[in-house]
Amino acid sequence: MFDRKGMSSILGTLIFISILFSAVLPMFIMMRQADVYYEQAKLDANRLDEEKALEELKVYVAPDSNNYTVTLVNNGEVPVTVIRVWENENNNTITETILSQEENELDPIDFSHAPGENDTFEISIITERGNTFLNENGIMTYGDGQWMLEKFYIYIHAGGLFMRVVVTDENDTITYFDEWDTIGVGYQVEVPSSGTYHVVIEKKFLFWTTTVYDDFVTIDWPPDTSVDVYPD
Amino acid sequence: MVLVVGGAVWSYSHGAASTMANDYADETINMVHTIIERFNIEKVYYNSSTELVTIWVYNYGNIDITVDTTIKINETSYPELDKTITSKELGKIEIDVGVELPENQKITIQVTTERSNSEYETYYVR
Repeated sequence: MFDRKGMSSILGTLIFISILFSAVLPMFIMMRQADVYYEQAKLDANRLDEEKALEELKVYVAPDSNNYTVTLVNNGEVPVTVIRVWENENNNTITETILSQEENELDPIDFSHAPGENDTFEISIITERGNTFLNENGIMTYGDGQWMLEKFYIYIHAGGLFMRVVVTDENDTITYFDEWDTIGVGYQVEVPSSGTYHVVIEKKFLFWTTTVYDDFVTIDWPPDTSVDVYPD
Repeated sequence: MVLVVGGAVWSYSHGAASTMANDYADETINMVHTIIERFNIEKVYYNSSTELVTIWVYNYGNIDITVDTTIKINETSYPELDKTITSKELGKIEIDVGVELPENQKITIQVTTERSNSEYETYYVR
């Protein structure tokens, strides 16, 4: 006679094992995959946010009678792709990639309408990562047959220890910038208009002061909105 | 008897585990979609001749979004609902305020996606 004792225990064990392998384990594997997917997506999103924060673009606009030229300087650590140029409430779609530490000039873009007396134009640039960069020279105004800008710059490419940089007007009556730095590297000095400015750079060591640059520089607008100073 | 009960328990367990796993995966996917949404209010403009406030929203994320836009002028809200903006596209939302606004009038803009991410902007009429 066949002995059926213990058969129930064996069947029960087999059913338990089949439940474990066909239901519980697949469920845990699927949940684990979902967790990995979530973590991966979070990492990707953080990486894109960090790249966005690293974008550093300088925008310079040179307007003409019916169009304007945009110069883009990528001072950031990541390549930047520009996708739109806004002129007030009008936008132009473009695609231009500027590599890190490089400079690109866009093809001239026509104004949405011919500039009239006291018309103002605000130019901004949109990148693929969603950043907006405004024209470094501020809002441009057209009047008396010429363009007026809000901001002009003198870029001083100097660096060193105990350095003093002074920028005054042509007659040394108005001081626009006067700074002593223990360690100085590169200066962007904003001046109110185009014209000639007096730039003096001094270096100090104990009681001795040495003048490393003392000259007049001119922002020749138009078309220049800035001037570079390179001390010897 | 053991087979019948065992089969029933297996069937129930299999169904329950499948449902739980699918729900978990769906919730995770929804959560991922919420955290990867990226958009901003790129531009706002009020046209005094048409009395329209135009808002451009740029979806720079990798998934499509559906947004509700509300502008507030002097405690009065003007909503514009369910605008879908595909990935990497610029969405244009126009809201008719029906009144001519004075210069320097403050307009606050809130854009909220259906996944509850929000962006805010303040615009002053020029």
